[in-house]
Amino acid sequence: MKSLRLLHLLFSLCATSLVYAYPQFIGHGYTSCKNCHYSPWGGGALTDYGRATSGTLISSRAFYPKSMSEEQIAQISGFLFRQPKQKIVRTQINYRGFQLVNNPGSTKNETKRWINMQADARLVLNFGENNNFFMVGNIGYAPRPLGAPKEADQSEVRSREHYLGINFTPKFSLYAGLMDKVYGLRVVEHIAYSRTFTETTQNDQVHGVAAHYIDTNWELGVHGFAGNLEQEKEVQTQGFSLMTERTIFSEHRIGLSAMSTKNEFINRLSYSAHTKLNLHDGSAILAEVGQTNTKAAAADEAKAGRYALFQTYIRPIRGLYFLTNIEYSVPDLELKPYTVRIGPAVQYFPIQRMELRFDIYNTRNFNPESATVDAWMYLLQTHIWL
Amino acid sequence: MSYFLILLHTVFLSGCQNWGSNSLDENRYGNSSVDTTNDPDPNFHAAYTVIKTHCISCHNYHSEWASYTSSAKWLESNDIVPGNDVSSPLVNMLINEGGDMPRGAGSISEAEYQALKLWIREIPNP
Repeated sequence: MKSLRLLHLLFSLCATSLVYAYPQFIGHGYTSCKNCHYSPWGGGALTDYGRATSGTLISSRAFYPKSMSEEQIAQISGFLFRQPKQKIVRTQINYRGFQLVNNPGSTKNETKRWINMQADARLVLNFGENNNFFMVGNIGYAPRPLGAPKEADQSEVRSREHYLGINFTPKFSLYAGLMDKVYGLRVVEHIAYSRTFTETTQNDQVHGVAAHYIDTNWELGVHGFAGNLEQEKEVQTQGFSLMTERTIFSEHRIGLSAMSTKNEFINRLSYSAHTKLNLHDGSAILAEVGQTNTKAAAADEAKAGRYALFQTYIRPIRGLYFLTNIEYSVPDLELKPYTVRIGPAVQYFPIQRMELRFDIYNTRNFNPESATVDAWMYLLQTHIWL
Repeated sequence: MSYFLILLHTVFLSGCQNWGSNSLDENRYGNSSVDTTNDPDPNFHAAYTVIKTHCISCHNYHSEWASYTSSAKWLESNDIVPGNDVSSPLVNMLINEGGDMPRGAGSISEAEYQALKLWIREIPNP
């Protein structure tokens, strides 16, 4: 038993989770996520190439001596600043936390809290010629979910992904295990309507099998899943999803997604279209529009909601990005009210392994029958990976 | 390999957090969420149906409303004041009362509004 606990401890220390992706890096010419992530749909473990790219392309070099070459920066992008001496084991540790302030300046309603969003570790094992067979796992701290009732026995340890991957050919791969659903733009903002409508937030991974095919100008992902098998059986969401993207004008992408899920209580059908536009030198535009139709089994109630996401990323200098986020949501198409959330943000990568970010969100409801007060919030975020 | 996966699951994953956006689907979409055996309040079922229809989609994400399946749990939450509908945050935050809830939607119907008020008014003030 002691040896198992020791093994657990070692795994926890060595092994992560960064279930976030940065699709805006199409602005650096990366149309596909597969270059930098083990998952071809982005998020999760970085490949050696992805780690080096984060140091040489994404992060500022203001704090490195001028004599240090880009190659030398890439060489210290490995775990704990070391260059790996073997091909099999890759590890990563991540921490992400932020100060969240709701209704800033309000004497009555201002709330402040620090949230340790993520503190976890990841282990990747590579096997075979050209690392064509690999295992990815992560485990670590996750905050107790806000919506969870007090009596629900929810641990603060979570694994957001663990799967096996096989590259059968350079173009075709299969993945099996716990993964994010293959759907739409995997933007970092897990409160985005495009992610809450479709239940693809930071805690919505499912067990299943996914296939990925990539060709010169297009790629296709198909995902069949049985739900999160750690959950109660009746709420497990079974279904399938697919996403395809095509390169247009040699450097931009357009894509389509569809997903059908069901459990004992509700059926959902979501579909969306998205685009990633390369504005060059790291600047980019992301956009997604989609709809989710729901049908509750018990009441035989059907409802359709629609969402839109529009983000711009402007990179004035290396390491620094100015963001604009505009979101639109109509929870029920039969009703007139809708919500718009807008906000600027600044994202700064001062050195490799560190991201600092400041976001402001204004949420406004438009309702022909009544006027409501705008909701404001801002967050200061720190993200460190080793 | 299968031995490794079983070991991985047994040692590392059992007992891990498993909460997701779908965890309260039974409370939100099922019809057996109200605890009628332990809560004989005749007005609660109608009130809970209003809350489930208009409030829980957001308040499930930001708070725990979907789990308040009895009058007693609502009282513990301090979102209602027993016997006093006017002073209850659940009511006085409504657009019907000049508040801004439900956000992104219109006022709830008069029948639904009255169902909420009746339920709270009829809860005895200890």
